[in-house]
Amino acid sequence: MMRPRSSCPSHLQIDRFQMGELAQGSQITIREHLADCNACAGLLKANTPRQDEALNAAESADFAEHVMRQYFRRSRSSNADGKEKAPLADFLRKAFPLFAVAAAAAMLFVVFRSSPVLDDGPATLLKGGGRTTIFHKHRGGVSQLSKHDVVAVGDALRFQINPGKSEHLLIVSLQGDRITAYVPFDGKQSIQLGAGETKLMPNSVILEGNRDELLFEFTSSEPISFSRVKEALSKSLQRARSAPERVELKWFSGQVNRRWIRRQRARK
Amino acid sequence: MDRAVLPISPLWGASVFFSSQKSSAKRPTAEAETELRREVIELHQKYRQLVERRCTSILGDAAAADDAVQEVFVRVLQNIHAFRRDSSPVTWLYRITTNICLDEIRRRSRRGEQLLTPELEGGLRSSEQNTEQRLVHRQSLEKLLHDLDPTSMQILVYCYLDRMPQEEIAALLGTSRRTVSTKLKRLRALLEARKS
Repeated sequence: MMRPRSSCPSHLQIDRFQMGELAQGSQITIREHLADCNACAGLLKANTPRQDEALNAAESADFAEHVMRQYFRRSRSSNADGKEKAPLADFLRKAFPLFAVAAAAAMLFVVFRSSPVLDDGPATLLKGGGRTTIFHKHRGGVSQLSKHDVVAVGDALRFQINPGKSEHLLIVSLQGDRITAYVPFDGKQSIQLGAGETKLMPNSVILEGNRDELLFEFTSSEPISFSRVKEALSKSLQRARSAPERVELKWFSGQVNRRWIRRQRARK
Repeated sequence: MDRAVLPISPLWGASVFFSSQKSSAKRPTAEAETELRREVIELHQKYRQLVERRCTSILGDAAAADDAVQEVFVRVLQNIHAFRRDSSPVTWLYRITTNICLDEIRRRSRRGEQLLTPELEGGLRSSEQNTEQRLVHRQSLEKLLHDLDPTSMQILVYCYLDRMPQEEIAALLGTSRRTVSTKLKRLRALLEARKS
């Protein structure tokens, strides 16, 4: 077998040459090279479809039908721009439309996979954020929680907040139907933080249970009542469970600040 | 359009509305769908062999290659506007096919299956000029693939399978030649380390 030389064009260039995609100058250069190089000429010959390999229209039509079915099936759970959404993201969008876009609502999700609707991969998802650092304690070791991290029952999370401006903050957990305030722990009202003040929350949260768990982080210029957040979360969840269609949300004014963390139980 | 004010909205000092209309991706009209189908048929007839050949050379398995080919064309449909605009559909298909095949390789890696195809193994051997590199064992290469990050895997495929120069890889990945060069150096160092 002839060995390619270092001056040989790449396979991509040969394919582009074959498909007539190259500019005239490059086309000529490669044609000249092919006349002189058995390795590349052989590659081009091998790439040229034989007559018996040519597809008939019926085969292509079958293939197109199949591909389009796949495409439309995925489109049902996709953004309008064609970007595919994970089932988890789709579920959350249905369940918590307010928090998907609401002003000044930052979110972080911690999910133990227990429901098929959330079964879209093993990785932790971090979305938005920036003001909150989450420290993750696992088997004695402490690290900053980041995307794709796996957390387990018994692990501890500790939050450090660094707000750009003076604001009120509340972090709540949703596990099944149980809604709990994590920061301040079991609190009824958000805590106030000064501008630029980095604050490490005094307590860690120990993760327990094997159900899906979602953590939401809310910030506002005004105090946030836990009972109101609890009520809104419950309603969002009920609506998502009862309404088959997706709830579309429109919003204006305010800033969007989101943080999602998706977490999966360690399988060990 | 039905609208309701969410009970929580005053909390944020912003007005938030929702409507209950369906917002799933719209299915095109019958004519648009026919047109799209016709386009898929054309693209399939034009590029099927190129995509199939590439999938087979990366995956080394006809059945897996068939699935990957289908995935490539679904991805083309999902990005049909970008695809139509692209001045080099072949380059676009190279990139997307490589990514899809490498995803499959990563899945195989997680399942502990064989990763290295004869073509990729051949590329790793033949494109290296020094004797030591040619002696790299298959098992070591498998381990190497298992440990590589996604970008390094792409670079490995483009360099050793497609014989692309660093400039071409950089252009394809939208990164600098220096980055590609650095990653290639690391790759070669890893190959050396595996060998020894």
